[in-house]
Order: sequence, then structure tokens, then C-alpha cells
Amino acid sequence: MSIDWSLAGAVILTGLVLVFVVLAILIVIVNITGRMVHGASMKQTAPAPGPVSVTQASPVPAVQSGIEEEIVAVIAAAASSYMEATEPGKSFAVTSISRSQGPRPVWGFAGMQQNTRPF
Amino acid sequence: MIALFWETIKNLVTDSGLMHLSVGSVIMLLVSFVLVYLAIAKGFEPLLLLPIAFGMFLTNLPMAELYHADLFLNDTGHIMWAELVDKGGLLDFLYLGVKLGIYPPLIFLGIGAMTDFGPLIANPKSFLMGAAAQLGIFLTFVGAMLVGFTPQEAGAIGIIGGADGPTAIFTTAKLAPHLLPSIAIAAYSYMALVPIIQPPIMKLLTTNKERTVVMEQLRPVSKTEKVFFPILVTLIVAFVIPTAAPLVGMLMLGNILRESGVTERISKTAQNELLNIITIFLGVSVGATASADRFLTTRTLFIIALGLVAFGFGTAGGVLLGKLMCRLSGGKINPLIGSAGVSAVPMAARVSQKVGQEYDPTNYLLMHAMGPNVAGVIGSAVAAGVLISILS
Repeated sequence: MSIDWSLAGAVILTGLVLVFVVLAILIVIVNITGRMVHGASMKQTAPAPGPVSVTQASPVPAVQSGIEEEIVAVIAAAASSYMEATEPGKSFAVTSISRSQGPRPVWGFAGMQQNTRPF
Repeated sequence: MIALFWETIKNLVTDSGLMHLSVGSVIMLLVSFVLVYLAIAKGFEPLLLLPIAFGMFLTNLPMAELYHADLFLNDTGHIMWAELVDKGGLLDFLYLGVKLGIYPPLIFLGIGAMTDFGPLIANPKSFLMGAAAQLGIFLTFVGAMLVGFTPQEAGAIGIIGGADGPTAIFTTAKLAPHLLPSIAIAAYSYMALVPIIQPPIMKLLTTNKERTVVMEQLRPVSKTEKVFFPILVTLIVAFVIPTAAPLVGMLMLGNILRESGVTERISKTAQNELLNIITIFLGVSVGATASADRFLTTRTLFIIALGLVAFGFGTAGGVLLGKLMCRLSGGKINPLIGSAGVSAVPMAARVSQKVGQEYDPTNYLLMHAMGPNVAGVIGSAVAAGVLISILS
């Protein structure tokens, strides 16, 4: 089958070149934007130069007995992910991990409801 | 009265669909049942393939008059508005969203609202793999012309290689609307077959050492960058290739609704209710164009074969550029993520992850592969804009 090779060549060349050029421009723009944003955020959070001080290590969280190290790591990772999503850049430390108390006893819940029901 | 009764019954029988059933209609009904089976039992992109299959089923019911191809595909090339209002069926009016290029950009709005471009922003070099994966589009264009398709038809067939359903439908509706059912069905079927098509090509083109490259963790991406990103992408793409603006613009509108954090309600609507409604309308109206005379041709077989070629070359293009980037970066980039440059999100990224883990179970490539994967969505939209710009 004979085809218009000049048209085919023009489409391939133009198409690939344009796709690469557009996406290459986007690479440059995204890189520049990233550097500008990170540069701005570094200036805001950079501490004033001062005497060198010994940095204090983060406090080791008080972990209730019976909780495995792997669970502690998972909880810390989940908390880190949530904090990064809700308050990015803010530092925090896990101070303790303990099991939550079971659900309020039914009698206690009924009593609470009775005492807090509007008159 | 008895005579009138029998006359009425005779007329009803004469006008019934059964009396007007043709061999072509029967075959198309059977094809639609096969597609329904693939969608439901095999899970082949059911969200679109099932409406497409049912649209095909409806349009091939004799005498149902739900869709009239001659209102849209005629010698004038224009929609016959007067006749549409006069005798248009339900699917004729739903098809307007396809013909006028409305549904695909709205689907992209929903996709943009669902997409996290963070992995791409963290590693912008992924854009290059998204670009390389569009190689399949342009090579298939040549292949289609060699087989005898016109340049416009070849462009519409080539876009299957972008592995993007809305982009394929948008491009085909503009360049070769008479091929829409074949191209849409081929595109969505191959998207579902990505986990089968890609791995052999990925393994063929990479070495064991390359497949086990462990990549550095991606840097965190700030909200500011994620808000700037859709604006910048829309500006750049629309300035360079205005014909890509409807798709890319709506994709980025959806994304900024998501990332701004102040439009959660409409972001949720875009990625749920709106996307679902448009998916139904798009699928059923695209399926409605699959009448026997348009679908049961040797051209449909060629389109299906060329679609596979397009996917294959797209995968190869992304992997080969991944290999080059691996070499140039001193072994920091795993070439397997290049195959995710075909924009079947997130299936292609999952395939990169799965193949990588076959060789190193501790290697997590998913988030790295998401970069090229979402870059491919932008890349295929840009490629579609180029094809429409040159060929229409």
C-alpha cells in the first residue's frame, strides 16, 4: 500500500517533538516552582544563627507494657502521615502510647445520660 | 371487530423487531453479550465496557429506533439538527455529548479530581517517560496508513496507544467518528489487558540488574506546589497546543478543586456523581454507534490488531527511555517504571510494582511508577491535541 510518507513523517516528527518539548518545559517549570517554594519555606523556618548548642534528643515515648515495638512503629508512622497531611512542616513528638480503656460500662453510660438530660 | 382485531395483531407482528431481525443484528447482539460477559465475569473495565456493551445491545434491537447514525454521519459532516429534534431517539440526544466533545473533558474533570500528582511533582523527570510512552501512538499512525486507513482514521487508531479512553473517544469523535465503536471497544479492552500485555515487553527490554534497581524515596511535596501545578500545566499546554486545552484544562480544573482544599464538596461531586453520570451517558452512547454495518467489517479487525501494536510500542517506548535514564543517572532510576507512562492509571503503575517485586520482593516501585503514569495522562492529551491540530 502506498502512503504519503511526507505526511506520515511530518506527523511523527511534529508529534513526538511537540510532546517532548511541552513536557520538557513542564519539567523545568515544576523544578523551578519546587525550588522557589522550598526556598521560601526554608527561609521561614531557618533558625537565627547562634552559639552551637547540644541538641536534645526527642523524648523516648513511654510505652505501656505489652505493646510490641512493631506496633509502636506503625502508630508513629500513622501519626506522622496524618500530621504531615494536616499540619505540614510542624514538628511533633509521640510522648506515650497506651491501650485505650474499653467502652464505657453500660450502667455508667445510662447514669451519665440521666444526669445530663435537659430538665 | 374480529377482523380489526386480527388486522391489528398482524400489523403488530409485521412491525415487531423479530420480523426485521437480520444476520448482522444477531451477530452484533451476540458480540454485545460477549462484551457484557467480559465486563461482568472477567472484570474488563466494567465501568465503561458494560454501558458500551449495553448500548451496542440497544442499538442493534431491530425497529427500536434509539439511535440514528445518519443524523451524525452523513455527507455534510454536520449534525442534522432539524431531523434530530423531529425523529431523534434517546441515544441520539445522549450521543450529542460525544459528538460535540463534551463528555470526555468532563470525565477528565473527574479524573483530575481523583488524581494525586504528588509523585510527578516530586520527580518531574517522570514527564519524559510519559512522553516516550506516546511513541506507540505515532508508530501505529504509520502502521494504520500502511494498511489503508486515511490519515484521519490512522490518527484516531493511533491514539489507542495512549491507553486513555476519554482521549481516544475525544480524538476519534473529531477525526474519524465512524470508527468510534471499534476504537472505543479496542481501547477499553486493551486497557483491561495491560497486566497481560506489558510484563513480557518489560522483561524483554530490561536486564535483571535494571529490574532490581531500588529508587530513592520521593521528596515530600507541599500544598503550594500542588496548587500551582494545575495552573502551570494548563498555561503551558494551552499556549503551545490549544487543541489539547479542553482535555488538559478540565483535568487540571478537577485537580485544583482537589488540591485547593476549599472546594471539597464539588471535588467530591466531580469524582463521584458527575463522573458516574457522564460515564453512563458516554458508554451507552458510544456503544449505540456500534451497528452491524459499521462494526462487522475487516477494518474492525485491523483496528483491534493495530490497537495491540500501539500498546506494545507505547510500553516499549517508556521502558527504553527508562533504560536510558537509568544509564544517565548512574543506576538511580528503575526502567520498569517507564512502562507506566501509558496512561492506564493506576493499572500500569501496579504492573510496574508487580514485575519489580517478582525480582526483588522488597522493592516498592508503585509510588515511583505513579509519576510516569499520571504524566502519561497529560502526554496522551497533548499527543491527541497534536493529532487533531495536524489532521483535522
